[in-house]
Amino acid sequence: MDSDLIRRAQDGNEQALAELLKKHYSFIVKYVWKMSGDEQLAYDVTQDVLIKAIQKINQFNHRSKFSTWLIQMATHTYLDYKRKQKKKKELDEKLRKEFPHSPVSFPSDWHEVQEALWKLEDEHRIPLVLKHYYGYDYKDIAKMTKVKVGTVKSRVHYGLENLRKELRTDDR
Amino acid sequence: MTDEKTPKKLEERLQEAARHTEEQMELTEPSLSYFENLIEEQTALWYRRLWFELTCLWGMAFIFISFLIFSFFYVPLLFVFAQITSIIILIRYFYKERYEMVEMRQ
Repeated sequence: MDSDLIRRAQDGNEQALAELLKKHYSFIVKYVWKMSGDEQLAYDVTQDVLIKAIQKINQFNHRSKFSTWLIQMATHTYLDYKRKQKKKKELDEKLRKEFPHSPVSFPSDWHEVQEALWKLEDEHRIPLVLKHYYGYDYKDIAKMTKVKVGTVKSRVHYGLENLRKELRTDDR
Repeated sequence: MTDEKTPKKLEERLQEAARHTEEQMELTEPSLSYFENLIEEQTALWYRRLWFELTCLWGMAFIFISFLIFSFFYVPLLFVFAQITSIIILIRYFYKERYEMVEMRQ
């Protein structure tokens, strides 16, 4: 059980912490990969999230799921990475080009949706992924992204609108 | 009516995209020893940082105490000013730390 592993990890048991991190490793990589479309970035962000989790494991308060706590850290770490990137446009181009060469590239409807999602701005894409990919409610997303619930709702709404526009553009 | 139907469909498409993307992602998951090494490495780093910070703290404390002794005997006003400044800094630090702790708990 996660809670048992967490408690042991918080008591200083390194073996338990290692098991806990291993258990959630794929989850974090997949989340960042789905959100960014960049495989390498996903591994880099995950590495940073693991380090933060090691350093802050004692600050986890058991009120939320451990995976939610990790997703929150991953989102902020990803945004920090993006902020550090000076040439934003170049990065966006890279993200769009990179994924079709990865094993996930298949010309199908879901692939189009995924591609269109990556074309959205971070502020729209992140709440959309959290809401519709992971099923978090608005309140959780607001906590994770440190914005108000109303802002999250409007971002999801406009995100869907933009996604719809993007998909129509792709159809032409 | 159409407006109600379209977003629903898009949401379904998103969920499908999530499922397919998840299935297609092939990850290379490191072994348990990788995580153990990472934890060991980070713990060692933490202790090193702690020692460095403590050394800096003691060094600073030594300098300030010397300065305070000097000012107490030769410039008493400066001594009082230093005391007030340090109290203000301590109060600000206390509130900052408390705010961060509350934020982390939430």
